Amino acid sequence: MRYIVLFSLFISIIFSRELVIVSSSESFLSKLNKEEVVKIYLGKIRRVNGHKIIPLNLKANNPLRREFEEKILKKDRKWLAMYWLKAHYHGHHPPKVFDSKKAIILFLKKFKNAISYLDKRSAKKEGLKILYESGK
Amino acid sequence: MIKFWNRLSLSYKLFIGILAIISMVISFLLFYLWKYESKILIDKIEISMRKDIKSKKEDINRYFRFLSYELDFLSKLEAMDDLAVLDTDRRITRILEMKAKDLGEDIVITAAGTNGVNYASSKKNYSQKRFKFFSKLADISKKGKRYFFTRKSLILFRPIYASFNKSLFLGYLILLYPLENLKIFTSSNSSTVVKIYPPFKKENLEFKGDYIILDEELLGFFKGWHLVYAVLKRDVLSILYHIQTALISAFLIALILMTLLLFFATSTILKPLGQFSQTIKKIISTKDYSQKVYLNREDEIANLANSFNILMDETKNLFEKLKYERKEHFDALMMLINFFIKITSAQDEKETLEISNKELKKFSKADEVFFNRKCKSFYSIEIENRGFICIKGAKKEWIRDRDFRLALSKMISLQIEKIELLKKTKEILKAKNAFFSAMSHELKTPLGSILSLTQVMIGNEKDISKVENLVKIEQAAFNLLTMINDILDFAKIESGNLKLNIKKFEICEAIEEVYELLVPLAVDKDIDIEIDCKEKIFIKSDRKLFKHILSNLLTNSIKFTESGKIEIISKKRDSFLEIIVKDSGIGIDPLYLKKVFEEFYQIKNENYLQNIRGSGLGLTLSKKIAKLLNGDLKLYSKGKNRGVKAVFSIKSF
Repeated sequence: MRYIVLFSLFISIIFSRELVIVSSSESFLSKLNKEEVVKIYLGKIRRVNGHKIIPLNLKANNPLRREFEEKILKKDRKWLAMYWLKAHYHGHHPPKVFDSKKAIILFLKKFKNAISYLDKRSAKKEGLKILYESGK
Repeated sequence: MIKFWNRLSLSYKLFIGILAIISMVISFLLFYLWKYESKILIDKIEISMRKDIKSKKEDINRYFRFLSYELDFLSKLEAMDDLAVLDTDRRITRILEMKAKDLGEDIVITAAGTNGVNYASSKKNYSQKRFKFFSKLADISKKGKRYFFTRKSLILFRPIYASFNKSLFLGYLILLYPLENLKIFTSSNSSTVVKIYPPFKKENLEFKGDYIILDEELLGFFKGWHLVYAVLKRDVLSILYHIQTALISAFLIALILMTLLLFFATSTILKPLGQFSQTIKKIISTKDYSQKVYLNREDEIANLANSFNILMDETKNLFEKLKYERKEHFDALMMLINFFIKITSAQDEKETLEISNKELKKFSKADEVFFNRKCKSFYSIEIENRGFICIKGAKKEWIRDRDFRLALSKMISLQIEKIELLKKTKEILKAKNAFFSAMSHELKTPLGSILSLTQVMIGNEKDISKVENLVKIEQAAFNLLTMINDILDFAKIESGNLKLNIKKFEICEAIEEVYELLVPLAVDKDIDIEIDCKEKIFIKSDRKLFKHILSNLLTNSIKFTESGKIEIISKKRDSFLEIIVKDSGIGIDPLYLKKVFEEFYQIKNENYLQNIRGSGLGLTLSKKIAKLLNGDLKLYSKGKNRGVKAVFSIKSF
């Protein structure tokens, strides 16, 4: 039963949207590879070209976040929880979380050095710069 | 005042006295209460008030510090980053709503962006609107302050910086604290008022007089504000008011009780006393000592009444006894007087004793009264040098009294003495009379013979030397006769045998006659006699005696004057007629002026007087006669050789 649910979810995500990493169109960033994205989201890279990068996150139950964690980070929740717990003691914080896509988009538009994952359709609609596409 | 007090009834005095004591005690207590106890109470209340106000101040301070911390905390929350995305997720709103709910409905917390728009707020009507005081806030913020006051609120604020970029200013977190809410720290009821005053409203005029006021300056945001704690003095001192009421009620109760007591005292103590004094007054006015006080009771006053009655009985008895004794004494006195009258009628000693015995027996109601040389075992009355009157079986009380008997004894002795004295006097008188008749007859007759015979011899004798001797004899005999006549006159006056022959006569004529008689003597001595008798004065008197006195005076004047003049002046003075005989003779030493009137007195030891003779009776006799004629004779002299002035006054019969 559980698998059926997971599967159907997976199917729906795959077919409904395509996950992309975006930033403000005026961002100094141009392209990021998957490895860089993972490192930024795990707090291993904090600055690019001397600029502080602010990764944004959606809240935990958002399907987009799940997709991002599965497809790009390739880390499960448990691992991530453990990872950030350890990082906390080193003075590092997990990426900034917003509840809504709308807030993320607003933030991205305001802060040029912020990046986030989004579905390609929204990204295009808002005129954001796509730094990485999972499909490619 | 004192008079009034003394006149006041005893009951009122008692009443006023006790009232004064009670009121003094009560006033002292009241004085103590209000002077000291009230101070202590107020001090105590002030201490506790101070404590209260301090803790209240602490509370306020703590509360606002807490608000400040809360705001601090909130402003630093990571969620505040959402301000950057205009709180799209309403996460800040939710937090603020929760917080505001915690802090209280009236407190508004709002997050404003850099443009002043409230993107998140605990109250809906604030959100998405520009914050009203934003420009002021920005100004204040520039000065480094984090709060300010508006008319209605205290506004606390904190700048919000992005958590991901501490230099990134996102906006302000603002807390609006309505000043009206301060009233949760204040309180007010009928007796206690706690109020917070802004700095510009410090004159707390509404508490005047009756409040105990404490004033404390607040700290922190409210620096300069005042927390005023006022307690109604009347309420603090209410216990004193209660005590005062109690005391005054006690006083009033005491007053009522005392009035009752007074009434009681008047009716039970003073009324009987009044009755008492009434009875006493009655006794005094009626002198009836048989009156008694009857009281229908058995206490001390009744005892007093009994004692009084007994005293009255005693007094009555005493009075009766006194009356009886007085009568006895009076009887005794009467007896004594009667006795005295009776015995004075006695002619001789024997009769006196007889009457005494008879009267004593009668008055003393004795069995027997007799005279004896000695008395044995009887009451006796001593008669001096003679014996005793013995009284046997006397019935009367007074006979026992020694003094009384002594008085009787004296009386009888005196009577006997008197009788003896009378007897002796009679004998002397008899002898005197015999002597005088002898004098007049036996002396005067031979002298008459001598005189007449000598005068006859002088007429017949031719031998001058013999005549001289005969004249001397005649002179001496004449002098002797004058002296004898004087003495006889004197004796007559003394024994009262001189009879006055009163007739009307003229004074100047009488003086003339005396002058005529004596002028030869004056001429012999070369003395002038002047008579000043201008008007005719008639007088009713004894002419012979008048002339006798005048001739006596004139003779004296001639006798004692060697040269010069003698004046005779007669004049009226009041009802008297005065005849003044004034000479310029040897005078009299004022020391002897009185002595010259003594019988047979002659001024002796004076050489120049040795050849002047006289009986020494002249002036004495003259004075006595003058007195007989209702007049007087007085001598005046300024001293030796300065003459004598004799004033003979006489009054018409």
